[in-house]
Amino acid sequence: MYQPLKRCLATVASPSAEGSAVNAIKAALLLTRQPIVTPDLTELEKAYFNYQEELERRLMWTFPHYYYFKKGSLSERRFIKAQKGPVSNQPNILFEKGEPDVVHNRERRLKQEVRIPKEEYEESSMSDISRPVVPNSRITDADRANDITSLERALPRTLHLLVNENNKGWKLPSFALAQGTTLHRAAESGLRELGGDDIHTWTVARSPAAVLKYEHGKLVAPDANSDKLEREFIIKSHILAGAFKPQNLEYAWLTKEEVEERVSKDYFEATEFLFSRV
Amino acid sequence: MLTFPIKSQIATLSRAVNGSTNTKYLISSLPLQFARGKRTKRTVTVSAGTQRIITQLSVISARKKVPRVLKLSNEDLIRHDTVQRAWTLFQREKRQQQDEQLSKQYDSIINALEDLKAVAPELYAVANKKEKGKRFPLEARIPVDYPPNKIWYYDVAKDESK
Repeated sequence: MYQPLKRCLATVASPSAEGSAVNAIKAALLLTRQPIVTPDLTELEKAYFNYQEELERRLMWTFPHYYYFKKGSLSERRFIKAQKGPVSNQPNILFEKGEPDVVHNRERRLKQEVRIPKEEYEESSMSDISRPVVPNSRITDADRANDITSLERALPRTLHLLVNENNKGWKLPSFALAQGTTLHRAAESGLRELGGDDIHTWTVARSPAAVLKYEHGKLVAPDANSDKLEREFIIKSHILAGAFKPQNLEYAWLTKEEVEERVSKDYFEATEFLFSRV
Repeated sequence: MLTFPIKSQIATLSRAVNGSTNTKYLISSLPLQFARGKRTKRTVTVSAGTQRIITQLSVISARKKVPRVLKLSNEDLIRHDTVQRAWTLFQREKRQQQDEQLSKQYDSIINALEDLKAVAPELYAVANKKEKGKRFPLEARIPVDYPPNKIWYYDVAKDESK
């Protein structure tokens, strides 16, 4: 399928133009921090999951507590005490919300609410293994301070590293190719020259994810062809540990929407599909 | 009536009625209990093992445990169908967006590689070289519902993966 295209492009590259072409190649790096917590639910998802759960609970069998608690034990007594028993049916009484239908101490028309007996905790036993589980907040200090250089912000989202070199506008960090080096090596070593060695990354692939073509410093279409093109091949990589700490360089870890706010319009159009929506 | 078991601590009213002629019994100081409330021992006793099996079977049996069948009115049925359709629509849109993005990314890779082949064949050769023994990094973590106590590790001992 791609045979004709390959051949027509093969004729474009002439040996004489090769030397100048390599100089015009840069390696850009799309460095991402993967989400640390699960995505936030949308309103529709929340409502739908709640509806499904209620349906499931309504159709659930009666909880067989006699199987889980030994008869006559203290824990059984505590469990039974915590339950709010159903209203039993009485003859000659009008029940506003329908006649009760109780079997095995469960109202069959409604979902069964099984209550777990609450235990009392003392402050002194907070190091105890039975202490209540308090989850950490999904909103971090970096979120509250709106610190866009922090890796601990926007935990449910994928963050992308963008730099603003000499106030020329936000873009992905890009590095010139030294003689004899390859794209992925140039991208990774360039990142370390810029932001220090204290960073642990994992290159997704050696092959580029996209190419950006510039003519006289302006973005052109990805299928444009000319001798004066400057090319940026984008290599994908994940940050696993460490941090990007450059000297005198404005940088930010941004979600896709924030990227859209900062980069120029044609740059975002050319790279939009590379940024993760999650 | 005189052979009434003295061992029994509880005298029942029925017995008391039967033995009403026996004044000696009626004035006895034993506690009185009505027949309906009397606790009787089970005549058939099963062994502990059998009882355990009975309990386990009753856990998996539906007897006495199924709730009433859910009967929805016409309005409720329409509501339910609307909810389900909204959900499928939402999922479909999500899937379509994902597919679209994936195909764009794929086309972009193809385009970039074709371009690289034309401009710098030696870089293209390296980019297409098979990476033997490449593994997904162990340090990568899957998203969880709540963040860990230490959100990010800043100390990198030595990075050899370049």
